[in-house]
Amino acid sequence: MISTILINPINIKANSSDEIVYEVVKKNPNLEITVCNETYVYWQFNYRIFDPPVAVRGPGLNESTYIDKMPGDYLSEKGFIVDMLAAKYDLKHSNWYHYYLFIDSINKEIKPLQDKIFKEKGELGINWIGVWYTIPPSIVVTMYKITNEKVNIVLEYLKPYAKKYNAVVFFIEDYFPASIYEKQGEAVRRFYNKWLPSGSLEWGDGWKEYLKLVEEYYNLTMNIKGWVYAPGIANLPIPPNATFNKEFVEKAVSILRRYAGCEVPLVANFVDYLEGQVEPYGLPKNPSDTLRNTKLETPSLLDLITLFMIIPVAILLPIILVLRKANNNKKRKNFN
Amino acid sequence: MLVFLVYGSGIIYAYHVPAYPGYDSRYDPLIGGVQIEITGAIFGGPPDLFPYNICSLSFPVKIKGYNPPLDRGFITAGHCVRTGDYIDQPKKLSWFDWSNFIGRVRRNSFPHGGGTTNVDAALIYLAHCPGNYPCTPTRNFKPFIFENNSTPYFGTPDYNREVGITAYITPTKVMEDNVIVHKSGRSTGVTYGIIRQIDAEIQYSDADGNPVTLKPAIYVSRCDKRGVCFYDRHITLPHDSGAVVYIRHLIHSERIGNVYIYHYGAQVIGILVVGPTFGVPTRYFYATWAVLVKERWPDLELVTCGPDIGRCL
Repeated sequence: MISTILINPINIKANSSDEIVYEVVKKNPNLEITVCNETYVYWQFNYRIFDPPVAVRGPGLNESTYIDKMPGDYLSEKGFIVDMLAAKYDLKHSNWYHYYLFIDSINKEIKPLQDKIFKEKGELGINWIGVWYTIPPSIVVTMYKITNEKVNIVLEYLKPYAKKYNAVVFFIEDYFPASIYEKQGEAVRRFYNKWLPSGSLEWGDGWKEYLKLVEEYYNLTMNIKGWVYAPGIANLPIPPNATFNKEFVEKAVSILRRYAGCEVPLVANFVDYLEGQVEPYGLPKNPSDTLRNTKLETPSLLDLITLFMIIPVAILLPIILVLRKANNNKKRKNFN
Repeated sequence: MLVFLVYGSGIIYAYHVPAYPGYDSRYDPLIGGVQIEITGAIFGGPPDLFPYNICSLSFPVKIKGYNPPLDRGFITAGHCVRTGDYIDQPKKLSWFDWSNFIGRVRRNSFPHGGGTTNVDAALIYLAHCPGNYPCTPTRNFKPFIFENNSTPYFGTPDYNREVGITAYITPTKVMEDNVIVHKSGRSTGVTYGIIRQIDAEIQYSDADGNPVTLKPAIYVSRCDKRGVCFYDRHITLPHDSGAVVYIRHLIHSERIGNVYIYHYGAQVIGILVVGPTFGVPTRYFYATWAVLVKERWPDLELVTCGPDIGRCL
């Protein structure tokens, strides 16, 4: 069954419970495919339009700006939620070391809470509970399939801390419950990686099959040498500015699921194939690569003197001396 | 003559980006971020005639079980080097020069030839150990990171252009989209961006084209995808590999007359290893987790200037 989710600004529900302010933020993928567990589809070039514009505040900034559109990929949405909440609650930042240590101390205080909730109430789909480095501190809970019931359970545990530190509490929907996080990593790796009997590694069959699908739909051969993914997140390359194609997406997800399996929910994040390619930044460069203003290093004067004077003299001089000696010996012999 | 011409062509060994001002100077004691030059070892023995690569220094370590001063080491990116390579800082002045030699690569976690790893790092042992003779120390280090004053900081420049390493920290999910990190490396100096992901997995190729996977890795970007950027210049360039990635905190400020001076500290979080293949100016990089160096090699002590913060100024 495939259900399309409306592309709206984030659904936000502001609440206050016993003088504690909390927000519940749900995500809006472009598509949710539920054939084989849940696959949440994000498409970078499916821009989300905000009318009226939405206030956002980036990390480290204390001023807000307004945006009227946002790319449709998973990471953009994730970052947008953080920036939007910072603007809405006028969250500020401090660069001081002691403030960072203060937030770290709250994080340490709250950390055992997650284990306690797991033990007493079950895992509830929680990925992590932590505190953002903001003024005032903000307690964050990321959770899979947020419900009011689950929010209320967790709030009971968080209330003392929220009151103590005058913190706002944010519940943000995400797809990676801690209990299955490792399995989500393994699932994605089955798609990207293939271990040969010899023990060597190569690109997975699923990945190769997907690239063929792109070739078929977009007539584009992608020679990708470096690519990035994450537990539960399959980044799938698409051509720049490719329009959302539901048939292509369904086929791609079908390939992904054939290799990754149906055990865990996944994100299929379709992103620009040029932007996403990576390479190590510490390998000798190919001389033909002039992309980044590379320039040929000129040999030093000392190197040139060594090359054209010292080394030839060092090699030729003994040869000349030996030849001269041999010649002299020969002459002497002839003379005698 | 032909022999010499062929031989001479080998002298033009590296096709690389020029160093950011200040990063290719000689540092004694050694500090993080600055340039190193790498020369291969012929069959694991003597050094090759010319260097083959350039990278950046990350952070200092002490090797437990060794007596000072022969317990000093420095970390760089593993893919930059091979075990046994000879390292000079900032560079070899000529093929017979040993004045800038700082040590050889003792350990490397990068799977040259293909494979998977959780950390892309290598240990340079700061000593000269010729054959059967006893080792002698080469150069001292200090737990600081070099910063060039002309680069755009998030904040203000450090008063003495060096930030003290106060801690080595484990990345957490709570840092994602919420924490700004700086990096200091030889090609682009100090740049900064936001931590977008801490658990990325990268599949890429080593120098011979063999696939390698690195997990976990920290994704740092100076922009979001909606195109809003902190600044409009490269966040990284080739040969920044090994650059130290850190959270930069204000640890001290004071007013002297009409002038404020600032001292910053660094909580080291990663080592830069990977950047984008396309896109100018570059917008992001990936870093391997610094704390995993200690996990991989438990006999290493990651050196800080603390706990007394006064020693980090």
